[in-house]
Amino acid sequence: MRRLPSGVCTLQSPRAAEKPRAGGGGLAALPVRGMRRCKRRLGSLARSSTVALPIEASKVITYRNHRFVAKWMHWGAGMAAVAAVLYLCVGWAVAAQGELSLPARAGRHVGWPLLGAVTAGLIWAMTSAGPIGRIRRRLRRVGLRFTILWRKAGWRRRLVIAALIAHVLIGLGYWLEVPWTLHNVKDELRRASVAPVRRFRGDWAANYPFFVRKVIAETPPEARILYRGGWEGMVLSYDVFPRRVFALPDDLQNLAGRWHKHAWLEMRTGGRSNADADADLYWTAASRFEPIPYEEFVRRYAIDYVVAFDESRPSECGIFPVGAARSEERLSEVPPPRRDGARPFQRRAIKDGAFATETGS
Amino acid sequence: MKSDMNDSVWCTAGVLLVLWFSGYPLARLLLPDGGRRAADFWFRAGASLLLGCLLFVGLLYFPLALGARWTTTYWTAVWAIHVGLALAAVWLLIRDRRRWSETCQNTTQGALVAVVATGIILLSAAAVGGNLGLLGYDARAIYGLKGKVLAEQRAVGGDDFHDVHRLHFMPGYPLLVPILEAQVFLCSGKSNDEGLPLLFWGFLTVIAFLWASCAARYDPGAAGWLTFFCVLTPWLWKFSEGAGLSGSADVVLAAYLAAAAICAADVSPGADGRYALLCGLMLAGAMGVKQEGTLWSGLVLTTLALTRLTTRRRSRVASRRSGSNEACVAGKGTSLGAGLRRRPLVDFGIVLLPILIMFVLLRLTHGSIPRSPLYRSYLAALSWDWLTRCVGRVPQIASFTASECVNNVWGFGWGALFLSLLLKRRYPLSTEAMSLRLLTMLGAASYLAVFVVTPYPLTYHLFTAFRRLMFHLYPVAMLVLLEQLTATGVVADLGRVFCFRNPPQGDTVRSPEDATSFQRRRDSHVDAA
Repeated sequence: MRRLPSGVCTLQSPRAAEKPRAGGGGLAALPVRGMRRCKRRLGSLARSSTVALPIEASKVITYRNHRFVAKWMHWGAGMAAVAAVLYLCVGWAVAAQGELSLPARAGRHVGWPLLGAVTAGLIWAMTSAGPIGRIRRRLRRVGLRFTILWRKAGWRRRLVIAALIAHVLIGLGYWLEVPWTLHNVKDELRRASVAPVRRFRGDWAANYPFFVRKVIAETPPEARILYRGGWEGMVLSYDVFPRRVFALPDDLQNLAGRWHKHAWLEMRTGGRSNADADADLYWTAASRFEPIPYEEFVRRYAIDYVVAFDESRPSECGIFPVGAARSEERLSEVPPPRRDGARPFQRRAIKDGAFATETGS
Repeated sequence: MKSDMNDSVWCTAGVLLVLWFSGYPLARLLLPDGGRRAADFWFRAGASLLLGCLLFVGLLYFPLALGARWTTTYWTAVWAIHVGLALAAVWLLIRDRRRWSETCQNTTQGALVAVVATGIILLSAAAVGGNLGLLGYDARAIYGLKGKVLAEQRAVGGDDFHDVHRLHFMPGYPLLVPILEAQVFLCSGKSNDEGLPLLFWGFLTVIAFLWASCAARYDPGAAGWLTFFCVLTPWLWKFSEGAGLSGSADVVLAAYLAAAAICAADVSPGADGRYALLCGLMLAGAMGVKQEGTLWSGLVLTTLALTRLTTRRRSRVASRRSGSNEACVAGKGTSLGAGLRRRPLVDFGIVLLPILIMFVLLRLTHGSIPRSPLYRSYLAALSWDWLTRCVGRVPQIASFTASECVNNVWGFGWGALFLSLLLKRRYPLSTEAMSLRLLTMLGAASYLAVFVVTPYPLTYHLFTAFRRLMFHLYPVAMLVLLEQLTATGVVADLGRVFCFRNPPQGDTVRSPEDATSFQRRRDSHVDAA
């Protein structure tokens, strides 16, 4: 950038700024007194090869208008906007007709195309060379001012400006996705609470919300429950409140040694999380939890039900009443825990997607 | 079911409103006048909910600390106090209507558009919060369960907290959030959690108000758009695990920490002592939310000490240059006179007082709760044997940090912060800005150190906790970003391009006093000297 003696600030190279432009648009380096004419000619800015814009009252900044780039930006943005709108409309219509679960129908990618359409439309309007109204004139002015700022700025400042714009676009994209995301989450929860199992990565998996509803339906509010299973027990304790949920010391010890063992974590890390087993071994070796025999535990805590849940083994999930009188006979019906950590409840296999576990009652 | 949900949503909204208004008289009392009116207004609006919640929870903590339970009379009395305070707040707001309507009148059209846009984002978040139950694992297993137990038992002395065989995830956690949730369960008479995230939406709005307050200090003309920019961070109003609307306590802690950081930046030798008190109260609130609050109390005190030392060094250099050994010098007007030399210790004392009270309350309440077998001690992790195993963790933490900083859920906030630090400032760093930067750096360093020594499996801990901890830092980091963007002139440039700011009159370079430091005006001692 260079300040000329006439009070004109130009963004051209010093040599280019000093030379009068041969056959240019007539606004090579516009002095302050030319501002009015400049304003009058705002409508034909895109057609001129070099334009000048009043940025501040005391300055006129000139820059070379790359007509070629502007033209391609204009057409590119227009086509992108049309493509985004078409993606939304056609995707929606096809999915609605064919009952397909296309991305647009499922709502996973609605916000981003919508944002893309709006942004591309704005760029199209900013670079438009046709007759313009008040709003498009404003938009074009913003575009031109932004171009000037971009050219004036150094690379570091450009990076910051790009980062700020990226932040706003990402935020708006997520925000536009919110209604569909909310709908999807609620729909998923609803489906998980009415069906006992679902297909997950080619296998059957138990639906936790359905299981919680089952526990609530089949146990009285004052029930005392012994939980056998994984990390879902902590949430189960909240979901089935005011029923009190207990765990055997052996099971707690088992859990304490399995902080690294989560299906979702293995899936996200591709199994690399299992390398952290050493940390669990180190800390569980340092502190053992005092075991209590199963029968004694059931008697001491007046357990009414044994509840087993393992998402990856739906056939082993179930609710087992210990017995109203907690007699020795009924107690013996519920198998005691196994030392190897495996689930003790072996049930029938799932047939036709039905929840095949027995309640024991 | 639908009517249950409506009851729950209305109860949540009612609890939130009463607590918010009840804090306003306290905020009026504790926050001195003297800065920019808009900045003070937004800070008071944000601090009101934090102070209201702190007073409420503090009053309900006392019986729990003494091993008693909330009797109906006591519980009703606490509510009566808060309803009274809320009514007083309404009266105060009506009385001050001219003052805050002037704040609104001074806004330009661009600022109004920004306020409306920010309002739309926040209201849509409220709509989402009102439509959801608690979704997160921690929100249910740690905080929600405690809330339900408290609503039923009204005490922490029972087996629900003390029996290690009961499935209760981390029973020793602080109870600020569970006590608030318990109020919703108690008021609605049901344990339905639909609409409960609305409670957390309040704290999310507090963070937005705190950003608005600081943006109004840095650049009043662009405050609305700067707040809009910050509020667009998706993690604030997402509802996946640990996010703002998931029901996790992290958003509450982040709000308390942001308020504490702003107050700590305002604590200076000659400033009003009420900033120090407010800072201490906010840190006490943070301690009541999560255990990380205790760590942050230490960090804030360290920051105060380091900032004070730097200021003194600057003053000495300035006095040496001026050739005078006495009187007022330097950016903050620190005096080398004997009368003012004792003030820093007094400030520390004022900050420490609420922290110590909260510490004693927490020890009395949770000290006797036995450790769950799932819990692992960080102090035990500081052994040589364990530390030698942790050396190899650094590359994994570094790569995870890098990937998280550019994760879309933060927008590009972290990236913008790091890139903005490359720009050259147009005026030197004020003490206030230095304090915020120091706190951010100390917070980031200590959190990264926690991951290096963590006794839990590293991959699991990174995936479940890293983003939460970043959330604690995020509001303060955004304050640093806003200050840096203002100081480097990026806000002024973008303001001219997008016309959201009045054209600058004269030079765009502003003095540090004008841009960030308002303590000089408040600093009556130095002025008098």
